[in-house]
Amino acid sequence: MRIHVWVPEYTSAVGGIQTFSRFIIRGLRDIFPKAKLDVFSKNDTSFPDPSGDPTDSFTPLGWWSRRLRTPVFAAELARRAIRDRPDIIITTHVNFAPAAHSMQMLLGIPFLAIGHGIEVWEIPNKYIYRALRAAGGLAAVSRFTRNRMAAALHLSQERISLLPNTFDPDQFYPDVRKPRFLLKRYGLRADQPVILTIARLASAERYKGYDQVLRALPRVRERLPNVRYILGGRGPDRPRIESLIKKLDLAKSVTLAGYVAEHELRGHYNLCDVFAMPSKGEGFGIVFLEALGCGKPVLAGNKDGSVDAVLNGEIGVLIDPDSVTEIAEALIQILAREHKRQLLFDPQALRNRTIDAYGYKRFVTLLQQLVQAVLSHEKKAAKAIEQAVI
Amino acid sequence: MCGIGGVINSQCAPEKLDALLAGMQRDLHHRGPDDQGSFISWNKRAGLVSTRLAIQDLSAAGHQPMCTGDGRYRIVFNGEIYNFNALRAELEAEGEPFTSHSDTEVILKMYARYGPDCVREFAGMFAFAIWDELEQSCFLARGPLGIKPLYYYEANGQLVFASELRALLNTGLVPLRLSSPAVSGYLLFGAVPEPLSLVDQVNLVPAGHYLFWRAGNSRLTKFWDLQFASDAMSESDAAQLVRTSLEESIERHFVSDVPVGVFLSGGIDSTAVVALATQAGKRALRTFCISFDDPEFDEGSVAAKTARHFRTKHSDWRLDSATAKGLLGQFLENSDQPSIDGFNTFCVSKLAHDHGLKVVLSGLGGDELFGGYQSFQIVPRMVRASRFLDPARPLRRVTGRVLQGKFTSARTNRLGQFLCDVPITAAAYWAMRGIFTPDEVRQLLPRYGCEGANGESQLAMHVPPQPTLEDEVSYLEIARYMRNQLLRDSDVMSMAWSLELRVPFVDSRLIEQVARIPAHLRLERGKRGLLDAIPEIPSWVRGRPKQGFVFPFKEWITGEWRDMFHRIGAESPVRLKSWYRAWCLFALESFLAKSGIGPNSFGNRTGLVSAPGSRSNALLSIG
Repeated sequence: MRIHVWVPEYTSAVGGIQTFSRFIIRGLRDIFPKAKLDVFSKNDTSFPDPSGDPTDSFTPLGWWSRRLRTPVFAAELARRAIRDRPDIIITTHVNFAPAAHSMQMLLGIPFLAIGHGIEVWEIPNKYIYRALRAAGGLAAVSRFTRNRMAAALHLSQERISLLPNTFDPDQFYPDVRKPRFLLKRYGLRADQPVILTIARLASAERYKGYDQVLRALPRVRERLPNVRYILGGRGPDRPRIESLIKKLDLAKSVTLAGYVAEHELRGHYNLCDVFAMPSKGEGFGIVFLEALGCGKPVLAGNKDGSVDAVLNGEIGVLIDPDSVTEIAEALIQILAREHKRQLLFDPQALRNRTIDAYGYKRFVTLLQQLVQAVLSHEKKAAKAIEQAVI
Repeated sequence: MCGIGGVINSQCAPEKLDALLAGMQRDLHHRGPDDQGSFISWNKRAGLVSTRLAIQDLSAAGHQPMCTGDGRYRIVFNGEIYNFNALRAELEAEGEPFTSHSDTEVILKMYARYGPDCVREFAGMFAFAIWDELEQSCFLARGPLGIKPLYYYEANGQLVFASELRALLNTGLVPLRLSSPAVSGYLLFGAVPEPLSLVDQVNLVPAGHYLFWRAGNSRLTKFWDLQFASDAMSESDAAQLVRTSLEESIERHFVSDVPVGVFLSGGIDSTAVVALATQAGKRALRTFCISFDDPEFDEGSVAAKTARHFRTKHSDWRLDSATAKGLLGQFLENSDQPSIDGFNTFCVSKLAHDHGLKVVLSGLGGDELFGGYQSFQIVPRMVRASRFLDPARPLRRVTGRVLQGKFTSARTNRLGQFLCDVPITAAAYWAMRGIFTPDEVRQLLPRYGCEGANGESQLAMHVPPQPTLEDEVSYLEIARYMRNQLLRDSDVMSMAWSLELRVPFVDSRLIEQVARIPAHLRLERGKRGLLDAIPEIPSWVRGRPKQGFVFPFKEWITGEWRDMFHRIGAESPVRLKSWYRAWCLFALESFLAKSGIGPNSFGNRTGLVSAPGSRSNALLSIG
């Protein structure tokens, strides 16, 4: 058996789609240990760390100029598909669907395309639209994304399977106490309430709601004077955020932590008392799972895929992301441990529920069903799979 | 600085465990001749050993294995924690009592109080193991930059570890099988790429990682990695940042209860160390240098002038090839894993040892951090050119194949290989830094009973995302060449003379600060980034072309040592073409002969050893 996996990025950035792609590779490796697994990455310029999940080949093409990269990538995908004749093509970004569709038509290789968030909520590109409608299999990472994707494609929801994000419980787990090295780094006391957001600081990512948290902070501070908001991430939006902090007179209550390396993520989750991302455009929000894996309560917006990540509010607090008052109230209730849902304050129970719903085992089971359904050309397999979810 | 080892979840009889630990201790004795100790758990299932070179707290209170007052945690530790005084003061303020003045006790108490993440607070070089008698778990950790080694073997629920590979092998618990990916990696790059070792299933705890073992299962966790940034910064701010960070690092590296010396060559890095040490008021500094008769390689006169300038007590050893040849047997006997380097550190460490020193500073790491190698200019140029040519890929590949011909030089062969490869930094870097091409390696592997593997090539091609191509080169220099070759050799060769080598440029705190400086300032040609920060470096050092701390091997191999290397060349299935390729095979075959590893005992098959399984070696008696 041979599988081609097409990814936008694999090694050169850490984000939702990259993390999801890594789990796809790991899952395929576990499900089909003898299959040949070839990965093609459009934007990488380096090979993955071999201590991770081994692939039989890895083709990075990120060193082409932006203008030429798309046609070159498409040509390489076609060349290798013609040469290798894989049994299935899996693309973790829908932009590659037209190329996969061509391979399906020309060579009869079925393809599976996965939608994450905003990129499938509306699909104005007619080539992508046509390709996705003809796909051997379609999946979305959340109900919210699936509903929007189905509407955009004029398909019934049953045509699109659910393949929610997952996380690594061995990498994200609760610590007995807040990490001392971070308390020292940020000048915090162990009993000081900490709110955390991790996001790229770019105008395109403002939907994640860090501005809203900043605006809610003065009200939180009235009740909890020594509260600290740690905003991790780097990007061009930083100067604007700095001036907003100044304007709101929050300099003493906010720390812009800069880029948080992957190996320090767990420490940061364990440092906080609440992970807050009141977003409006999240497809799912893998960071919620990671924070929950560390046993931390999360605050999420009720208008996007975050709703799925926090199981409709069962394992997190859902608020209207446009309401600064709601955000402030929810943060106070969590930080003061006054929230009525006591599960939020039981780290082990939070973690266990998250693993039940989104653990790797479940992900692999779903992926296996999905891939096998595509291989056997059962487009309606989605329904059966959906019943297994959540 | 010490040697450490241990067996966890031992499956052998108690008296055998005792003998096994004693054997390990013997093998590690040279690393710490001042004291030794061992521990066996109450149920006779776990044991730790240590040989100690006493640097901090010379009294018996620093004895290892050291345990907490309640007897729960027990530690063996190799290295130095330079900020141990500050950490100790913090712990004391929290009510923690101390019984010694050693850094070992600080690690132990930090772990007992704060668990595995305590490693993130240690500034220094370290490899240690902590046994938890209550939980029956074991914690192994290795410092951010991997200055101190820690090998481990894990099978059937048993964990065995040691500071040196040979100490592990001699336990008899490890199957003596060569690792094909490791041999392949060694032939490609001249040093076995971490985390592999030449022996199958024996790995190094990767730099900046810790391993937690419990009930037969282990988990590796990364706690540090190198990440360059590109904060906007002026030239003067960059120079100031370099200066402050270096001053702090030098100050840390002088923390010792015994005198500290410096290896001084004619280069910028070691001169910078001497300049800042003098500036910091370190009086009566001892400096050491090796010089040669051949003026092309001799840095002795420059080093002597620098030493006079900074008023250090300088010792110079004029080494001729006959003396060097006489030391070669001893060098090979002391090497752990083979490498194409290490002889220079062996000789200069002997010099410091002979003068009664126990701790010496070296300028190692300055080139990697401040762009001292040609690779910083050539590799990005190669990558850009190859990317430019990629639209004409078939033509590029044909050219590449032609350049890989038998009658072109080894370097041209590797360039040819690069033209056939993907145009990324790592591929260009290995074309420049590598030893044999992948095709040649495929021809050489069967000679050692190995099969082709692609694991090591993926390892070599991995570079975490960095802001520029130059930063990627710096990453490769630090995380590959320096870690797998320079630091590994430095540890083994200095320890062979019971000497602690400290490397103030290879300091995670310093690197975290300097990594913020954008590449165009940090990696400016001629190491301007470093020179601007230290105006005390005298003019005669500034103006000199880069020479490095090198020995005239080429002259020796084609001259005095010709007979010995002739055989290597004659038996090799690929043309050796240059001296370092001959040395590469020579060191590997010497290792195989010495350790009796390989297909049907490699050494015996090639007539290198006098008797099967014998540790005596014909090669070792030369000279």
